[in-house]
Amino acid sequence: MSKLKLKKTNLTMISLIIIFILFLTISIGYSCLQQKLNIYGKSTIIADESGKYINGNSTYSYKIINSQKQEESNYIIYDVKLTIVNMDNDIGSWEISFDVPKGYNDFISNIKEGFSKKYENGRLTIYSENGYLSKGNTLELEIQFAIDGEFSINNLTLNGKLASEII
Amino acid sequence: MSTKKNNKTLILVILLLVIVGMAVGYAALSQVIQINGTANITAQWKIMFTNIEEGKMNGAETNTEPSYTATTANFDVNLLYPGASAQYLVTVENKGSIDAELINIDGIEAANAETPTDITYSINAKENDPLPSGSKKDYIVTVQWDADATEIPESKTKTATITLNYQQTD
Repeated sequence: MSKLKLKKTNLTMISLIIIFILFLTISIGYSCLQQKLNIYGKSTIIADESGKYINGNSTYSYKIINSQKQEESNYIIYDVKLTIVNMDNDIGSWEISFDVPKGYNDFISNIKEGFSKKYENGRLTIYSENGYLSKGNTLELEIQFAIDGEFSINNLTLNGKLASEII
Repeated sequence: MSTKKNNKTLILVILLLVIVGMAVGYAALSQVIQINGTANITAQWKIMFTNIEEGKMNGAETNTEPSYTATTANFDVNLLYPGASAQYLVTVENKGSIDAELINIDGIEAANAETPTDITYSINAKENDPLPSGSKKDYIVTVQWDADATEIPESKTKTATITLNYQQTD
């Protein structure tokens, strides 16, 4: 009897092992049919030459309408019309900054009422709180600069983005 | 008595002969039938890239020409200003005989979480996108520099590995 029982157990074990092997084979065979495709991307931010300002799409130009040497000083008062065209995003509160020459005197320079200015480290910032400037629109400013020397504007940014000068 | 015994013996022998004769006769009348079969796997599993090309570029320039192999596609782009974006069109083709589907897309979230976070990657592929046998699909991979960025990040380069995982459909 025990021999018979042993025989039955062995047969059962063998059957189970065969079924298990078959199952493994089927599942391995099934899971092999997969494919991974990889896309490798690399992007690099290219800054402007100074590495300080972010390039934008806006443009600017300026025109010296009048220049007059101040009496009893070396300063020349330049009446300048500055035109900026916003070619980036709509702006809810515009701010323009640019480098001014070394001989610039902020105390006797003026800007039209309604706008604010601040001068720091050779850079003049003019801004208007709530000054809306949509993309594609133009901003014109009339500024009176007092400079002991020649007039110039460099590295003009509109809300942090470098604009290109149109000569 | 001896006659009876002889008769019994004779019957036994005859019976034996009959059995032997039947066995031999049966064996002679047996036929081996063989079934030979050969199974060949003719199905093909072949999902691969077949093209990558520059798409719409806005304030972006390709630095190195995009390239591809069967399982990888590469692009290298420069972004010039905030708001710049670059698109690359990637073609995936099922050149096999087994239908497939895109089961998941890996790598986008991980790439976008890395610095600089102002640069983000995306792809217009969707999970469960089917790719039947013999068909191809174009996907657009987009990389862009956040338009609201106001400063140049310290780390100026960002890489991404976007993995498209395909599996056979049931």
